[in-house]
Amino acid sequence: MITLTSSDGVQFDVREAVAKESQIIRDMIQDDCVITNIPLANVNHKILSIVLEYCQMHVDKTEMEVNASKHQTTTGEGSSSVPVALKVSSNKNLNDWDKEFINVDLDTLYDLILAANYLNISGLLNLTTQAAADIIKGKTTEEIRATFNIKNDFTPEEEAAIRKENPWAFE
Amino acid sequence: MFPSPPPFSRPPPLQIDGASPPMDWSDLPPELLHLISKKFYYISDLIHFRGVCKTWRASASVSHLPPQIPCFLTPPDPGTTNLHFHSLASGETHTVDVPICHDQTILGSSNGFLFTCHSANPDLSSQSWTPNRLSAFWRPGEMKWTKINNGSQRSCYNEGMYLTLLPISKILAVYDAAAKTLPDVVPPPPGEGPFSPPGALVYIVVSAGLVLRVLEHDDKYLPVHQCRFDIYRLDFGTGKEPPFWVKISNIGDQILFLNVFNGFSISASCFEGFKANSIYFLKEVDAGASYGSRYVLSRYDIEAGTAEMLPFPFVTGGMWFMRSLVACP
Repeated sequence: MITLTSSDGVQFDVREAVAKESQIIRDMIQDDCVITNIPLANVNHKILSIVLEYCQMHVDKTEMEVNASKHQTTTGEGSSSVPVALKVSSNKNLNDWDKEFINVDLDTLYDLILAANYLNISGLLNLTTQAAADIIKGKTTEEIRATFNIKNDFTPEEEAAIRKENPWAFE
Repeated sequence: MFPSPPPFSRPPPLQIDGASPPMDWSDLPPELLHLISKKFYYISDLIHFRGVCKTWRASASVSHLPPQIPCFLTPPDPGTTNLHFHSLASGETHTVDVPICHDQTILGSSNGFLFTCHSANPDLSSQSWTPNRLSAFWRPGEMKWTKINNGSQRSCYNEGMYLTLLPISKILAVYDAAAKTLPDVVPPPPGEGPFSPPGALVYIVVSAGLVLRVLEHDDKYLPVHQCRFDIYRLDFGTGKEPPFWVKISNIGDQILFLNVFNGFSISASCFEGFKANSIYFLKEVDAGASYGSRYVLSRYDIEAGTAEMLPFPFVTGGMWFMRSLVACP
């Protein structure tokens, strides 16, 4: 077990495999195998618990797949169709699970993007940035600003110049 | 069969600190904004993204766009300089006024640029391509165009080679663009000759690094569902003998988009709703002598060997166009 401590001092005991979903933690553990307590200065307990929920699910799923393929190789040809079906359904379930998992409010999504980047969890970074892109898709510039609470810092002249570049996109 | 529920339960949303302002997404580090901006398949989403604020604009590159579904461009309406382009991906049609198109014939496009020539006076000394009976190519560093006797617009460029289909004989001439040697000549596959098969059109298209010869069995009186295509790959063998055609039955994950004379290919893997191993083409339909050429957009499923008509706002023809956001140098 490894203890991860959030920026606000909350400790999480997790299996090494779960913590190793993070590339920076993986590197730390490889460099020094006696490390058992890792402070994470940039992630508070609320976000860390969500990140670990993601890591736990993805580790469980990978382990389940490995077990399934072991089962496949040891039981011979007769029953090989069962694990394949299991693998397909677990892949589909994980995608569904990811979709449900990332259905969070914008502030949480913002923190999750930063945490996924800081901890270097590529799957989570891909999932969170895709979720942000999905929210932006199909919106006008004004709608994006309103959704993400962003102040327009262009001067009217700059804004007019931007629209003039691709007027068709602002029709 | 699902793993046990994870032990990390989410804390309930905190309502007590209602005073804390929402996150300012313009503070997100540029490299992370860049990651988000690379997820857009519609160029309009990227344009809107770049219009939000200064940090967002600076973080989203326009030089490396994600793969795009091409849009379809029609020539200007008579007497105007309005170009219409239709996005297959969004189904929208936009109009752009391009004054420079006045009295110009649009010859082709590449990397978001259009190549035009003056309709009345095709002239090789400008950035233009002659539409009739004369073909030429230009190599960077050279002062003159190299004329090709008997070349045609049914041509393409691939990996240092300029390939053009000779009219009537349907022989492919393969020029080494770097060396001033005579071209290799590749005879058409068996069954193709000056007037056979009747009504067939030949396209030379680069697809995933291969040169394809796409033979469309069609004429304007044939219904869409009876259109049929044969596809050949240019095989260079050992390199000692001239190249030759090999018939193929599929093009993998590629989609071909055929223009009137040529075409290009993209990978379907990035685009939901676009079927791999298919051909988008313009089917000429019979509209009676007084209406000139009329076209409908159609898609050919290579595996099934069947074609179907697709919804399309234009009838006048035009060309596929890959948009770009890079400004002219």
